[in-house]
Amino acid sequence: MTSMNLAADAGSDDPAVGLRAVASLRRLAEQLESLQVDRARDLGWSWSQIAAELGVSKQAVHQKHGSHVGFRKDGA
Amino acid sequence: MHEMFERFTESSRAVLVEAQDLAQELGSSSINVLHILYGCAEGREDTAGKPLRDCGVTAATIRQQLPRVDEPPAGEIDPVALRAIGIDFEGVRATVEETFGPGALERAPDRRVPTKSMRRVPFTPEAKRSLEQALRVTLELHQRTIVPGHLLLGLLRLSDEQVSRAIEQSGTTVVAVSAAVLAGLSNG
Repeated sequence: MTSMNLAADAGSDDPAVGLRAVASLRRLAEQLESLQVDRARDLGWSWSQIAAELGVSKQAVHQKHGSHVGFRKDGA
Repeated sequence: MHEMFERFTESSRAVLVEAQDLAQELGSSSINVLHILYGCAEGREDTAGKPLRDCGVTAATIRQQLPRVDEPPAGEIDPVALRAIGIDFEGVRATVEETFGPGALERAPDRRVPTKSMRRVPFTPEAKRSLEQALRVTLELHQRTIVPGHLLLGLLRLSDEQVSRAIEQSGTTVVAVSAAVLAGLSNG
């Protein structure tokens, strides 16, 4: 509850809060990307299909996520 | 800054590692003067740790004066900040868990290539100034390497209110600690 009040008090006109929000969004976007990409691969999507939806090149998405897919199932 | 760190002895590096560990432990996104003072007091060495202990300043008393920061460390998601721009992080998390299972978001990796700037815990401007002062003191004493005693003198020279208060709370003064440190350094 206190944290809610803090947010209301500080407001989004405080640069510190705004900047933390930006950093949080980036982090959140990255984590969502990993989840979605791994799941799409599990469902049999090609790198080209994934890249098209993300709006990046096939090479970029493969380089970033390629080596991780498949590892996570047996790992934590 | 770089050439300064080359002059650091092992124990001086250890002071900054302690300072950084404490900053991280307390959830602070930067290393401040009190974190460095803590590092000096924590070290089991003769140039800073001993004079501090002799004057009654301990790592424990300095630590007591450092509040825990309630914000998540930089680089982590801050739900409060997100709420301030109208994003309901708990809602996002709940939706993600519907598809990916409980705890999926916490476990999801961030696959950005880590850069130096993302990892480093920065010094506050005041902490940086104390390091500059430490180098100054070292040169003034015609000594080559920066030992913890120099780091401590650098802090004491700032006339920083927080540092003074931390020392006075232990029943001594900045002047007394400075004298003890200098006496130790000139014996060395």
